[in-house]
Amino acid sequence: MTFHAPTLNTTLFILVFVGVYAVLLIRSAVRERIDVYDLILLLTVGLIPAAFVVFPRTTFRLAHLAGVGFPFLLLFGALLVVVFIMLTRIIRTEAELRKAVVAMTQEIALLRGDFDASSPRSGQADPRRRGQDPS
Amino acid sequence: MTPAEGSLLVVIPCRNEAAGIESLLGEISAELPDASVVVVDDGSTDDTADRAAPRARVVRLPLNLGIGGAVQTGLRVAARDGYAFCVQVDGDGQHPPSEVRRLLSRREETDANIVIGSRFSREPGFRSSAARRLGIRIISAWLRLLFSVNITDPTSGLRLFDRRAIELFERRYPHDFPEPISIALAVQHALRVQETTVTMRPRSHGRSSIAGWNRAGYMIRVLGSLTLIRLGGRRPS
Repeated sequence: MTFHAPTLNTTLFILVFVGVYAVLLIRSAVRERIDVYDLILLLTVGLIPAAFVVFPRTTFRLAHLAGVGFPFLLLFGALLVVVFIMLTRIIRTEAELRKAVVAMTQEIALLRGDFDASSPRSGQADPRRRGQDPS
Repeated sequence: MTPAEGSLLVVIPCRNEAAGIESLLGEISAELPDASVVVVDDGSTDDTADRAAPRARVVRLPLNLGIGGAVQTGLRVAARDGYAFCVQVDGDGQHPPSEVRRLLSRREETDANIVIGSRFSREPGFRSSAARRLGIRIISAWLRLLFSVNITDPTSGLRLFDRRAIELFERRYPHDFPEPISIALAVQHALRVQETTVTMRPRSHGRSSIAGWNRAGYMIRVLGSLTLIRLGGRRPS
């Protein structure tokens, strides 16, 4: 494996991309569309390739230590780890939200039932007669 | 009004059961005249709730939560209104209300917290397909292996809960595949689970959601969930 430094064009392209990406993300965080933890994770997706072009020798050594043939494999590996952390977080949040939606739906239904039962115009049976034939 | 000691709430989870709900409620009022009834309408698009309303208390879920969410809603009613017992009778007509007495008798004999109506061991009546029976046997064996509990029909929805079980499941009831998983949760919380043989009928209409490739997914998820609960160890009730 021989070391090849990235060209100036590659470095500039990556840094401009990361700069724009970071500005957009920080703006979303300031507007409270994403929280700080998500901001950090999403910024990492941009910062990892930036680190690879800014510190090419370090990444070359890291790739050598990790036993991978090319530094970009290490980059993909690092990005995959970040993506899976984000995915885990999204799945966990989704499960919590699902539980909350179920609990809220049940509460709404029970409150509505109580309200209907107490309303004089309700078509529902008197709860004291539950289970009995009204005829 | 606080329900009396020994009071029974019949919970009927149903979705689009307008065709059979009135006859089911009529049967319940004939067989269990002292029981209260709550119909949990799980987001029906037909007039199930309207047909049930003159004969029973109806809780209308604005969204379809699935069988687990619907049963848990009924258990919440039982917990809040102080019922001593709660029995689940499915709205599709598979569970004859006359069989509820068997569950109550079994509860008296064994003092169990949960009594499940098993469609096996008794010759007459509906027994489900061979594929389903195989799946039930595998789940039953898995429950016996992991939790040392002998239940021949862990997917049966006809079941009686006492106050301790009501209080547990009101807080925590599995939303996916609740029948077998709730048995594991009950054992995990040191509740006693028993079963008794009952006769079931074929569903009067509709069809099971567990068919075709869904069966494989169902088995993988149920067996996986049971294993995870076992790994969680026993918890104080």
